[in-house]
Amino acid sequence: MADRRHREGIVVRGLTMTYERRGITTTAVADCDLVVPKGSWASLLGPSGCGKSTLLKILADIVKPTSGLVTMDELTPAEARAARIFALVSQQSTMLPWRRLAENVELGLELAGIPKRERRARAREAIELVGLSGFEKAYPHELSGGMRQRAAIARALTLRPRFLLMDEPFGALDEITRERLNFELIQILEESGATLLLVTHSVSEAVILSDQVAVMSPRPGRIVHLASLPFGHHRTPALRDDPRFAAAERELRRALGNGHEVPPVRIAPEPEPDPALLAG
Amino acid sequence: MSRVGRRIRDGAGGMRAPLAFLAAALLLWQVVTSTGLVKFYVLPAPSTVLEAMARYGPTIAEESLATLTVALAGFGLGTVAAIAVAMTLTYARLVRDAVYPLLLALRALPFIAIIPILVVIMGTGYEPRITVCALSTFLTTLVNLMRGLRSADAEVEELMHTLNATGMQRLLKVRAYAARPYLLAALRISASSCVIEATVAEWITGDSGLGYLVQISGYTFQIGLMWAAIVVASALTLGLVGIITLVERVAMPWVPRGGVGAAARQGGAA
Ligand SMILES: Nc1ncnc2c1ncn2[C@@H]1O[C@H](COP(=O)(O)OP(=O)(O)O)[C@@H](O)[C@H]1O
Ligand SMILES: [Mg+2]
Repeated sequence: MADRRHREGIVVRGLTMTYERRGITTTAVADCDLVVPKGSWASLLGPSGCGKSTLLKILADIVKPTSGLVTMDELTPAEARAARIFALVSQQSTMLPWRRLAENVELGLELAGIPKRERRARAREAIELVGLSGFEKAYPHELSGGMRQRAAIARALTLRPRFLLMDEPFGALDEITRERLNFELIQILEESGATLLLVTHSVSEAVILSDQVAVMSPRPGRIVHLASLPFGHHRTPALRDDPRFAAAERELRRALGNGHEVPPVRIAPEPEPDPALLAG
Repeated sequence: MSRVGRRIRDGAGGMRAPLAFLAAALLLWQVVTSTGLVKFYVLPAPSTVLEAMARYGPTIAEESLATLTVALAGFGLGTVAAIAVAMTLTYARLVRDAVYPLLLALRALPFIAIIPILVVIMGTGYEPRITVCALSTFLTTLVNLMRGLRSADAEVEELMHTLNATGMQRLLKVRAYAARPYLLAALRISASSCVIEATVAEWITGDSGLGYLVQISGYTFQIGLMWAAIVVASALTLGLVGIITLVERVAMPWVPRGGVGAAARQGGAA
């Protein structure tokens, strides 16, 4: 029984992912281990191309790992998908171009066979939560990137998933909306008890939204640092004023810097040759 | 006004300039031909053509109906067959691998050139004419549909996958929409090529149709009637293409209009 509880949540063991494309092999993730206990919140932080999206895609059953083990509440990705226990917010915040926003938000519920009346209500609630009320009838191409991201988040929330997998979901949002949504998400997670695995570029967002932050090395991605944060689940914007917040940010920045060779910084761009001198 | 009605009306505004230009061209044409500078058999005056239209109205209407029947029957049969075969080939991989390359090769066939063969097989009635229209519509539409059914972005397919969509849900909620721009592009091409093929087939079969009318009025040197038949054939083509355009507006409300490249961004077919 103890063993069983131990394996609940997200478990990643010895995960390796090697892509092969036109004879070129790329190892995106190498021997990665991670445990996200049930109901806790984790972030993946790392330079781009280090395999963060790949890890989420493996969890979401979009790509099959080369080797290693991945489970969510002891289910393999394929089983978890069939049981509809996770929702993925992909990096592209994909929408069906021929569906209006509300129809896109309802898509997951529709595919799950939820009756129309209920999915309308749940979609309306989620749309309001992400601040897109009034845009229900807009087509995706009429929305900004940030609005599409919010729509994708709304679609995931309608599913009330046990596991929320989010790939840079707030990347295209302005600072104010981003922070508001961070705390909306905290409230939802707190109420639903969902487990979060978030990929982000933002150190402060990782601190705001996590119980633990895994820092990844450049490709092939490995977890080089694991920071545990002591903030509990009841968080408010006042968190930023906590001295431990700044300390956590510092720790993560240092870990990010150590994880890879910092490329030499070019202080000034190379001067353009002066045409007058060349002509002279 | 309903949303559909508005979408249709919005399209009509764009016709004002070309109509004005057409009127000016007709006027110039009338002036040039009435001076006698151009021989009437090279270019009859618009008034001569109109006169012929009025005089032979019932004949022209009857032959138009024959041509329209052939074109529409061929268009309809070809489209239905293309949709059925495209679905089959999309889901039956083995059949696709075996049959599709051959169907692609068939496109190289000069359809107009096989009409005499069809006449030998089927006689001079509607059958060979409808067959040639149906064949060309079928192949054009099939090739476009095969591409269209697989044209959804990989990300959309991934989304449907993570949302645990069934094969039927993917067909109805993704492929049916992704294929629409391709299907309608094919139908637009087929609508005009069907009128051309019907007309050409009528030269060969004789018997009836606008093509036949062009031919016999040529033999009897009725230049006005000849031109009248051609004008009506063009009008039929324009009418059919116009209907397809309306269908496009109604069937793809998500495709943005007006901006350069806007349709291309939405995955519209060429
Ligand atoms: N489908 C694929 N085929 C081949 N290589 C891929 C594929 N997807 C990702 N990669 C490679 O794997 C590495 C990690 O990509 P990704 O997981 O998207 O990184 P991140 O999300 O951390 O930026 C990159 O070098 C990328 O080029
Ligand atoms: Mg990524």
